[in-house]
Amino acid sequence: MAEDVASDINYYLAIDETNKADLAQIRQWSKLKVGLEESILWVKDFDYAQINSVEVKSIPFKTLYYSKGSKLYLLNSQLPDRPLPSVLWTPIERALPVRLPSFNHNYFGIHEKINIQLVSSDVEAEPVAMILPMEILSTYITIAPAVRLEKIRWTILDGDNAFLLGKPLLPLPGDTYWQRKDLLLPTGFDLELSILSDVIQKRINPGRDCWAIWNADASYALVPKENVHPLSLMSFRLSSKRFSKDTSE
Amino acid sequence: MAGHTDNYFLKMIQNLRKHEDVLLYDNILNTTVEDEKEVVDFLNEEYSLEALNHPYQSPEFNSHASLWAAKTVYISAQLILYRENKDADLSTLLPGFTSEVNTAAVLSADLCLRFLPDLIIQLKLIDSEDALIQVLEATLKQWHYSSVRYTQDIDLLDFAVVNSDPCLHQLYCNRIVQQRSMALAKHPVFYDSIRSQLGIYGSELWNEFSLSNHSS
Repeated sequence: MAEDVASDINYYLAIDETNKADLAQIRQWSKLKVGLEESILWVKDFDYAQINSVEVKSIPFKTLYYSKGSKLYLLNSQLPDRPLPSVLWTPIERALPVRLPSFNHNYFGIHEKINIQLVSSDVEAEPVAMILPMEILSTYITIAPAVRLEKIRWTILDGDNAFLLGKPLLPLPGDTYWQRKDLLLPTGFDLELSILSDVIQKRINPGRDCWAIWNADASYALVPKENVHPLSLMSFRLSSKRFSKDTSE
Repeated sequence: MAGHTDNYFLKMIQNLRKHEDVLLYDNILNTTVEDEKEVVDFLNEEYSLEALNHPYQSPEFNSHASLWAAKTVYISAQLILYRENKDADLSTLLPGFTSEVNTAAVLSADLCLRFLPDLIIQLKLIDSEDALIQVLEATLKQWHYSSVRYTQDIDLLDFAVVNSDPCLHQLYCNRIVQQRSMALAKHPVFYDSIRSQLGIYGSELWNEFSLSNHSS
């Protein structure tokens, strides 16, 4: 294969050291070598395509040479301009080191805080829990088939409201909740940052021994799991009797 | 207090109710009035506990029916274990129930009668041609609420009492669903109620029942 005649010619680029930042765009050509002669920065080992490329042409305040013998000629000139510079050549990557900017765009301050909010969600989720007034439950439960109560666990929340957990829920009106781990979120709502649900769970309920019932305004209440008992007519009658006795005392 | 500690009738019934075991102390077929009173008191307590689980209006405790049922179970267990009597004595040892059979009687008698099917199954294992089996099966035919698990000819059963009272009807449905008694569930007395109780969750709560509805 014939030798590439054009590559025999050595091209040189000279630029004032103060403008060396303008060389950034040719730094990617790792074959280039750089040397410093007093205040002039020399770059050599261009090939023909590179010396005529846009990258080189767009560098301001440069001087381009080609060498013949021990003399440097200005590009497109037949007259020698100066002798070859006698400098120590180093690869351009080492001569022009890259310094990363000190500002990290991915950095979030650890002192900043995130507001936990619930937003309405389009994702359909099956309700597994509900809160309803005791009166509604008491009228239903006295005529309810036992098979519907079997799978429900329940507790009394604040004397007026019953909390039911289990599927299928009873056919009664009330606020329903869906489940994400131990978080019970109101149906139709989800955490604004749902990716944080595990973190929130660990934070408010590290032992996983409580149900966290969330309200739409992002407040929550913890109900210990051991206080949630199987629902039966007997359980309901005994509990509501005891509760009304407690409050009357 | 001697009668209290030696009340084997009460001990047997208590053990049956609390541990669901039959424990017999001796072959004693006669019970005294005092023993019976203690048994009735105990069953009354048990009934008032169970009544908490009764839907609608729970009927009053029927002491007569509950004592009769307790005696029936007690004597049947004795007869299964120690048979010294002739078959002809069976009807005197196990008299039928003579008073009116109403909801209260059914629920009160059920406290003990619900254990009768298991006794019959045991008896069948011992001697499948025992005359006692027929006597007890005849009892269960009348008190079929206690024998939902026990296969019977459903067409011969009388559901008039069940139909008349919503509490008993609901309890009966509960028991049918709990025991998965398909034959009774298909009976017209219960079919509509059970179907509406299961509702759209039929496949979840009792798959076989809802499947048979689709096929029919």
